[in-house]
Amino acid sequence: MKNKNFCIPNGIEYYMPKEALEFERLKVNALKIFKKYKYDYVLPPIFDNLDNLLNLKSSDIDNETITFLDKLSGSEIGIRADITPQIAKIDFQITHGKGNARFAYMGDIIRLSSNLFDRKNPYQIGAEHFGNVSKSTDIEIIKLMIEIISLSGEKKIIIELGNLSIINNILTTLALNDKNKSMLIDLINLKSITEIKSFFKFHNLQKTKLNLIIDLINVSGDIMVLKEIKNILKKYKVNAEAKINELNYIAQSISKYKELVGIQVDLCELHSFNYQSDIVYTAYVPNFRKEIARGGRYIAYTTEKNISRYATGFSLDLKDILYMSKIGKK
Amino acid sequence: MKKLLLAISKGRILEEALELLEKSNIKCLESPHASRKLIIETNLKFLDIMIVRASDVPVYIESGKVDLGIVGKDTLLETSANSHLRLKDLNIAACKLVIAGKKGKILASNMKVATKYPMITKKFFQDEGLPCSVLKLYGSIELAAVLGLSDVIVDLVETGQTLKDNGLVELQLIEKITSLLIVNKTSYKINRQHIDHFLNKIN
Repeated sequence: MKNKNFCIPNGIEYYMPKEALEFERLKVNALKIFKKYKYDYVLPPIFDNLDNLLNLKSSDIDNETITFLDKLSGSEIGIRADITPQIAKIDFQITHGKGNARFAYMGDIIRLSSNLFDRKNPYQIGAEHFGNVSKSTDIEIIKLMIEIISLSGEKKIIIELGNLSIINNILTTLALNDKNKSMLIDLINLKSITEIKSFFKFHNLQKTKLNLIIDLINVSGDIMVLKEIKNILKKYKVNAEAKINELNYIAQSISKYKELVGIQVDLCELHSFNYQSDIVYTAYVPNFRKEIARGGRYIAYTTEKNISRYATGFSLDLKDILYMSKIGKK
Repeated sequence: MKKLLLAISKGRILEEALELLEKSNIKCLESPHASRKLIIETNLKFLDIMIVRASDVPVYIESGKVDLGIVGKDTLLETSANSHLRLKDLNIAACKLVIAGKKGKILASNMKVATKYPMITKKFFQDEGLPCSVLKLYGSIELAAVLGLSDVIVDLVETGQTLKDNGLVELQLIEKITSLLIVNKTSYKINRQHIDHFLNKIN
C-alpha cells in the first residue's frame, strides 16, 4: 500500500462489515416482496450501449449518464444513471409490446449530480408494470412501493398523488416554446407565485390561465382538497373530472391499505414532467431531506405499428432505506 | 412534534426579517444580536430561529435539517439547490442585481467580469450570446472595475451611491432582488399544518 490515506470522492460510500450485511439483508427482503407481488426479477448490466440507457424521453438521464466511445466497435456506450430504460428494452425483447408484464430490478447506478447532498452511486431498486395500465395497476405499484419503504422501519409515510396531464393540457394552450415551457414548469415546481405572475406578464399570456395555475398551486394538501380541485377545474371549464375521480379512487384505496400512510394531492408537483405523462406518485418520510421514492405512468416505447406501450412503476435508492433504518434504530 | 427551524440570512435581510416577524407578532425570546446561542426560541412553541450567512441558507434547507429560510433571490439564483419551494416573496431587502462599469462601456464578447455571482453572470452573458471570463471576488467588487481588473462587474445595487462615488454607472439590469421565504419540500409535506400556520401569521 503506497498511500495509507483513505480518501473517497464526495457522494460515495463504503459499507463496512455490519452495514454491508444489513444491506444484503435488505436486498433479500426486497426480493421476497417482489416475489409476493409476482414481479419477475431481472438483472441488466451497469455498462451498456447508450441506445439501451437513453431510450426514455428524459433529459435528466441524458445529462447524468457517463458516456464513452468504444474504440473497437465505434459505438457509444455508457454507465447507467437509471435502470428503467433497460427494463423497457427487456419488456420489448420478451413481450414485443403485447400483453401485460411485470418486472422488478435492483442494481448500482452512477449519477453525476451537482447537488451537495446527493449520492453519486445510488443502488436503484424498483418495479415496472407494462401493458394495460389502470388505477388498479397504480394501486398495486404504490402498495409495493410502500412495502419496500417499510423495510426501513419507518411507519409514517406520506404518498402524494398527482396527474401531470392536467397541467400539461393547460400549458399546451399557452403555446410556449420548449425553453419557456421548461422555465414555467420550474417556477410551478417551486410554487413561486410572484415569479409565475412576472412570467405571464412578460410573455403577455392569458390571465385566466395564470389564475387557474395559481389556484391549483394553492390547493395542494390532504385528500379533502380533491373536491376543491374539482370545483376549480369546473370554474375554469377544464374537463378533467374522470382524472380527479381516478385520483380519488387510488387515494381511498391506499388510505384503507395502511392506516399510518397519509395521502396528499398536488397537481403542481411536476418533477418527472419530461417523461412521465399521467398519474404520478411521490413518497415522503419524516427526517429525510427529499422524497424517498417516485413513480408514475409513462410511455415506455412505441412499437413498429406505432402503438404506445404504457407502463407504470416506481424506483428508489435502497441505500436511503438503509440510512432510514439506521436513524430509526438511533 | 418536531419544532420548525427557520434560518435567516445575516445583515440587512436579518434586520428587515425580524421587523416583519415582530409585526406578525412572532418574537425571539432572546435578542439574536446579543445572544451567543446559535438557535433561538420564539414565542411560537413550534418555531426556532437561527442566523447564518446568506449562502449557507440554501445548503441548510437542502440538507433537510432546517425547514424554512429567509434568503435573497440572488443567493437562490447562484445555487443549484432544488429541494425547496419558494413559498412567499416577502418584499424585504429590495435591491437590484446589475452589470456596472465605467460610463459608456458597451457590453461585448470576451469581457472580463468580476462578481460574487459567477453562475448568474455566466448564464446571463451566455443567454445574451456574449462569451465572457468570470473572475470571482468576495468583497468590494467595484474596485475591480475601478482598477481595470475587469471590464465590468456584476453586483447588487441598493441606491447606486457606491457606484456613483467610484465613477461607475449601472449598465444593465439583470434581476430585481427581494428576499423570499423558502421551505424544504419534504418538510412542507410532512409539517404542513405548522407551516401553513406560520404563513398565515406573516401574511
